[in-house]
Amino acid sequence: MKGRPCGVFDIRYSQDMAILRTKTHWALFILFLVSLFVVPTFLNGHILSLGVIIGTTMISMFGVQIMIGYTYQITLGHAGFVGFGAYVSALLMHHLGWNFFFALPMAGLGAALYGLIIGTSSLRCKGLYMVIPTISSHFIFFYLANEVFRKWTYGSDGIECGMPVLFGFAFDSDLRYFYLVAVISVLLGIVAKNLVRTKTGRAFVAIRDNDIAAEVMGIDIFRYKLLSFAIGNFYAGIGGALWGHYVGYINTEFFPILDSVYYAAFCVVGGLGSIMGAVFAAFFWRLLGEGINYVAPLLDAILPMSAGNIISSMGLIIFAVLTILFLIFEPRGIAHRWELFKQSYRLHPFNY
Amino acid sequence: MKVRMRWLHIVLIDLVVVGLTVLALVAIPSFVSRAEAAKPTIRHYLIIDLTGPYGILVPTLWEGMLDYYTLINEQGGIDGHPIKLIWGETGNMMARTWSHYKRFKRAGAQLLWLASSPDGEALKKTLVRDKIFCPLNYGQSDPQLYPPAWTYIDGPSYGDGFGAFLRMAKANWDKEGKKGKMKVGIIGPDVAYGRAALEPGQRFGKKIGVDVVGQEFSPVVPIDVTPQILRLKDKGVDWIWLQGLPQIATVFMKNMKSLGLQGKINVAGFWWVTGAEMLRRIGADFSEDYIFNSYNYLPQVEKDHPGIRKAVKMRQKYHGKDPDEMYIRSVRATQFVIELTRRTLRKYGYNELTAENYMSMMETFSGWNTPWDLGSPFTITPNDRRTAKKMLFYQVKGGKIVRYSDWIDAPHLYPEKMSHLFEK
Repeated sequence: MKGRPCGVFDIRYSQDMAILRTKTHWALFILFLVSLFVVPTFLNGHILSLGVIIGTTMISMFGVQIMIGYTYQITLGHAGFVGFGAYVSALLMHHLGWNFFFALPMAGLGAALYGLIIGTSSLRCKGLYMVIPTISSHFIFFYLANEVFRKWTYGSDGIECGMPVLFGFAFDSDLRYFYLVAVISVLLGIVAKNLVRTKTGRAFVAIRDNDIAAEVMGIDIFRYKLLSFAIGNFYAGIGGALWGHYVGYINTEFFPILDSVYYAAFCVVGGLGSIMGAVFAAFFWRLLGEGINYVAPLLDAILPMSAGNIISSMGLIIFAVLTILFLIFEPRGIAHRWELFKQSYRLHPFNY
Repeated sequence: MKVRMRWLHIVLIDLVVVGLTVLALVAIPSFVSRAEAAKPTIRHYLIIDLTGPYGILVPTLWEGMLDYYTLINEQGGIDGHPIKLIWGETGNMMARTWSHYKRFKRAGAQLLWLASSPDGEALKKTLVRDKIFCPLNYGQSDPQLYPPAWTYIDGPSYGDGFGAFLRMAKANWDKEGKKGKMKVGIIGPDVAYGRAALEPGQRFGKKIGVDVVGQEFSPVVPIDVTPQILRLKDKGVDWIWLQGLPQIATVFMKNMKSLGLQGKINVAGFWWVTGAEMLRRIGADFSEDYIFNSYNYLPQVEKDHPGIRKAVKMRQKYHGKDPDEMYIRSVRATQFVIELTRRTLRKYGYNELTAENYMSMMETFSGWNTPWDLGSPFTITPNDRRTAKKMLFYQVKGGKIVRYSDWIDAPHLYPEKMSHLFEK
């Protein structure tokens, strides 16, 4: 019964499957939801903006988690898929006048379709070798946006992303947009959490752990790998579209290859193979960036003679060092520490 | 007891992680706050990429800005008002740009500097919506300029700079009595600033009888640009224009040398890839004959210029080293913004240092030059918002930089579809 709250015993299948197992869980979840909608009314635009950034990153990170964490389809082209989704949505609104709420799912589906095409390479590649087609996908995205569809995307000049409006209600402030992103993040988080507990999710995990064994067990590896690509990139597309419409304008420079590296690296920091890991990854990445935003001027104040040189490399160094430290000391990521914390709490006062 | 200790251990580690985050978010900003002076402080804001792709160039530019603000404060501020530049670094991550922007907006920013094309392009509409004035962006790409908004640029646009080059090269071509049509090709990345020379250049080239044959694109950080060079060679170009940052230019110059084309096809580039930058990164041998433009004097060449001497003194004082060309460029730009602030302050008073009032004072600059005369004088009009309209050309010769031309007029090459906005 390890991992169950003390004294909680499952007597029905539905109990065994439940995510929220106790009244305390439900209370905490309801408290979380209430807080999510009440607390923002007291927050300023800067914090809300940070919330939007974390939310959109989190959605994209769910995709990375499904691909890398659950299926071990390593992707270093995720920023390209994020950008693909952002462009699909922007194009549909800009040229065809679609409503955002129709364009948004199309952004996800567009990125999923693009992911399916790139994912076909998983028939021949696996593991680390998937880095090559996924990096290529990033450059193909650039080529498509800047050259092939230049007439519609306006190439590197960029394209404006319209504002989401629902029945006349415009999401035109930080607070409104935060609510939009919060709702979609929570919904997609729940979907992701449940997805990995289904037959499909278990097939992903089987492929991740040992694809030959999975095949022997009758899992159609290629199909599930493609599915993983499609679902993972669906999330990327949704995250990208939400981000693009928040900023109001995109061009391909907004989706640099380095972001793809960060997606993969911070997924490790957050914790591979865990949806909470994606949540932690998004928070950690964006809050770390925010921390650096504050530390850099502080260094300038303390070391005015040399701060330029230090600051010029600080962000990259901190991001890299933290990733390395996590790989050495906590390869299972922040999510693992969270699990330890929860287990200790649940077992208290017993030690096993 | 053992269980309790283990539990405590885990809690403690988690608390440390949370604590560090909270420290970064809350404690540090208050830690850096300083005592207020007698007269209220004027605050300007800056968003800059020091660690991303633009970090290769802008740190000294940023130092120049900070140094000049410090100097002004040491001289008593602007009419007794201390002036502070509050800045944020982005690493060229739009999420961080956005976070800084929201923070600055909340702090009541009326004047925001920017330092890269992507930031200017992304924030253009938002700045208008939020009524925040961006007097100068060091990125000079068209999407942030046209149609005009609340974002201005430092110097001419990239297209205008290329136009000045075409004008200069064509004049030399005619002077030397060369026959046929001069052909120019461009190499640059497929981003807004990388493409900025092409369309206006082709338009202007047609006007003055130069064939701008097209552009070869390269990655922002290429390993090799040999195919691009060979394709331009096949088109018979007399000149290749570099519209990319040093990551491209240095690779390009090495490839030119190894192809034996150095000196056979002339090479010129824009002001982010100066000869000084080339000499620093790839040395004299690869940089020989390279020509580049600048809208400010170069400290490596105009050593006896009084303004340059003042800049040398300033950087020596604050950093113990000589200024480079980026430093001079930023001092020039900062002098303009300080003067703009002074004029706005004198006309409207401290409490009315609003974005709209700042912007209304832009057109009071007529035939104005910076106090240290670091570039050419300029006039800002509703139809022409550039803070530099003339270019100098320099060349690398024998491992040194020498002046190649006198001031050349930079044509105003706004997009044709925008002509109704400019040809009143």
